[in-house]
Amino acid sequence: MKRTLSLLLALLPAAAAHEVVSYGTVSAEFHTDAGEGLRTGDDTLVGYRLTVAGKVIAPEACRCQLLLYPGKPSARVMPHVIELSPGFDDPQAAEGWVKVEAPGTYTLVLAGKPAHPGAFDPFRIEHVLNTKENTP
Amino acid sequence: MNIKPALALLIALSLPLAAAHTAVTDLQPAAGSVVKAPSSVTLRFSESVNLRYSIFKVYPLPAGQSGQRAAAELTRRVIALRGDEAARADRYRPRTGQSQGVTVPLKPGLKPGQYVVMWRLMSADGHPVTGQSVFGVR
Amino acid sequence: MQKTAFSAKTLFLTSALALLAGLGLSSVSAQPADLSESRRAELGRELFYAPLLSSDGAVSCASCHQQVRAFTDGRRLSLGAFGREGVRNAPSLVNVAARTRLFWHGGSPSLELQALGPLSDPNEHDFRPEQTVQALRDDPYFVRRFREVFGAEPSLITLTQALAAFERTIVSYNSPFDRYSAGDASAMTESAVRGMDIFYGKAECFHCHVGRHFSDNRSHNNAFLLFNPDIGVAQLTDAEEDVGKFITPTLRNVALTAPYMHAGQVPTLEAVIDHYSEGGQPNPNADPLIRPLDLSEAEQADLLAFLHALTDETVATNPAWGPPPPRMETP
Repeated sequence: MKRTLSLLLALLPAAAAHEVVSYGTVSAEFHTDAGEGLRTGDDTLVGYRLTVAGKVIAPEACRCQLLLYPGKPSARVMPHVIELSPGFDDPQAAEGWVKVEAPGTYTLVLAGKPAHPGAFDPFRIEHVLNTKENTP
Repeated sequence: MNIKPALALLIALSLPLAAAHTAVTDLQPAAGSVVKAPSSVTLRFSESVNLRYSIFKVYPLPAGQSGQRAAAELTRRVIALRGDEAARADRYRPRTGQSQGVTVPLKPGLKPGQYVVMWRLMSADGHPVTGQSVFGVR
Repeated sequence: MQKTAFSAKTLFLTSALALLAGLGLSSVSAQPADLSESRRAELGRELFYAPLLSSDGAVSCASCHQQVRAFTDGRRLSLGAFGREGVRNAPSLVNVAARTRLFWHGGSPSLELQALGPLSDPNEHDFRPEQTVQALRDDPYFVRRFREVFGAEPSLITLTQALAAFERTIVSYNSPFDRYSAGDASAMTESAVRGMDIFYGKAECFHCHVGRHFSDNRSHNNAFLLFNPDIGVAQLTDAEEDVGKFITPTLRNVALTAPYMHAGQVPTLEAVIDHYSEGGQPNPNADPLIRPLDLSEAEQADLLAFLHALTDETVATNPAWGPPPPRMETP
């Protein structure tokens, strides 16, 4: 049993690798291709998968905007608007490229409205990302 | 130590693991490194993968291109191509069986430049995982 | 006359000086209260249409506040002296006496104080206060008129008092909506009545466009823009939560006052309705009331009909607010 416990402990970080952030019944699972952070000086692929009441919904079911703010979101700043396309491996996900130059903390904002009225409540989800040093 | 409750908790926490995607945990040459022309590329995975349904390729990154996005766009364009052996820098031939690592032989005498190691793995949960890494040859 | 983009510092300085000079303390009333107020309004009307109060001699208050457009100018951004473009849209002056937060950022509490803004704004009248007074004192006609009304030579204080007196006379409560509210069921079309239900119901427009003047006199960020380089009320407060907020404009005569919003960025009422129906952009300061309304085409048409019913077409033609009669020069 101790071996099983050790094995599960070793694998646990992999299970928790993608962060899920919720707003009401809507949850977004965020992912980046740079170890859940952002590269500096090069592009990072940022994506998300949406669930409503626990069920995955297709990207086209949401009129979503994915924004990236340096630091905290502020109305004084024009965010980077990430151009989204369906996930390459997972058509239920959406993803897009973003490039930041300065190291530090950034905030992803995923704002969405239902493509079909009443499917879910409009939401605004924030997810903090840090830049990662030496991330190839 | 009473292991049972801890184990139960860990099992509960680890349930999403069944749905977590396979990750590449180690690469040689390392991502971003610049090396003398290597004879092969090796990859290690976070779990055993079914090689029959996995793809591994190495492509030269066209001159003038650089960065993760260029590498990813090349990967997405060519990863599923068949009959592209001439354009590739590797000599990998499809295999079968389960493995937690793979060695991809390269063509001899790679010219200096940037190369993209690209893969498409089949996760335990059935989801494909596509990725890539770039190394340089001096 | 109100679109000026005064800097906060300048505005506060002007406010302080004006208050010290006894300006800005007059109560706001909708009609001339007495004979002297009426005479001030007559003089104010002449001054309102007088281009001599600008550095290029071509810009008057009426340049941007044109009666045919319910005292707006039909432009996205107004043109001032030497054709210079301002940064905000000219708001209507109809029923402006009822407003207590003037300018788009609400920085002036009175019409008298407000008038100083556009007179000195480089993108509007472009006249320093002393130049404005001098121009009036160099004009024998106005010297005589100020003596008749105020018993003194022209001054900055009396100039703004006269202009404010005229603006207070621009009053309209005779739209189809007003007549309907007074009991004339035929005053509004069936579509407009349905639109009124949407206005006060499904669309909940009334939270901000409230009361007799269809404005709560408060500031909101209506989420029209994801990012707005014009920080609005924060120009005065510097508060993060005020960035991109502007005072709710009246909806009266809105059919005559296109284009819309603080920078005139929305060309038609249809586009305004469409914006609110869509639910706006995810601006960090967006008002929480902004959300998708999912109005059907029929509902949007009805809402549009109601907005048209808030327009009193006679404001565009009432001769009392038009250009004054030719000067009666002293023989």
